Amino acid sequence: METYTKIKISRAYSKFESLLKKAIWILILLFAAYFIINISSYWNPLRMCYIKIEGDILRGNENTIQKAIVYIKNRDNSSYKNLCKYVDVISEKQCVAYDPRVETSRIDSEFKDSCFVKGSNNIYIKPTKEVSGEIIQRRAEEIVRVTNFSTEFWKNK
Amino acid sequence: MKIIKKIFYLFLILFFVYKFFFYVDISNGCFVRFKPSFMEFNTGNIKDAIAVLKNAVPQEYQKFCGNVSKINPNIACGGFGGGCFYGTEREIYLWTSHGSFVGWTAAIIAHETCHVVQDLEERTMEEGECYKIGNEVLKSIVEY
Repeated sequence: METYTKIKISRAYSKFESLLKKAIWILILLFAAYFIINISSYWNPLRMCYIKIEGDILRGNENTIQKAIVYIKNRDNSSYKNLCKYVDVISEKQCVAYDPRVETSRIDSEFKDSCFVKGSNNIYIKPTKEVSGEIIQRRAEEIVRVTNFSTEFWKNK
Repeated sequence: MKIIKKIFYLFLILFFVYKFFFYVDISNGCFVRFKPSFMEFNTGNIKDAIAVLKNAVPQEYQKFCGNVSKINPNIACGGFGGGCFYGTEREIYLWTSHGSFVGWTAAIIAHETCHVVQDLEERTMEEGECYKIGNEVLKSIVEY
């Protein structure tokens, strides 16, 4: 009887051990996925938030965009929620607001600091290589500003 | 088990073909084929730009769906970041690259669609009219 109980305990233990091993592997894979995805994107699985970041290798810096998103998350919860819901891609590119071949007399800059393209979930931000707290804050403000355009567009759709 | 594997591979191939070579919107009767290109294998930017037209400039989207049947993403007369229409039936060239500004790609699609319409209506290829349409699209979709 005693031996039977011992066998049962031993089987249960080995089952538990194999489950634990599997759980540890899954955790390692999740952490690896988290770090790999966060190299060129922003992913916060706890808030179900994924935003692809298309950086400009030569003239831009993806890292300050990631930090700007974290800045928004820590300071403005409602903007962060809207950002996660209504923006899929943040791209470091110069916005083109009109065709200079047509509007030749227009003198204001065709390149804006940031913009939203209606009908998409993409926002664009002017590339910059500068890294500083001020730049992160300015980028965060620009992201929030154009996220509001996306929110308004898709809410009224 | 073998049959399941075969079906899986068949679906994988079909998905691949659909993702890279077709744009289909049944509810609006829109069916456009993409020609293969080594330079622009990923047609994601073009599909995103079509979605921009659909969601933000529906009249241009209807025009596009009704008049364009093929998109060729190979090098063409418009150069990098541009488009072209050679008069081949309902086929436009778009060489805009995957990472392009989606608003610009949408404007180029509207511009080339305008040329297709001119051709179908047997009018002369007038650039001014089409530049104007592309510019109007750009102005109406970019919010800054």
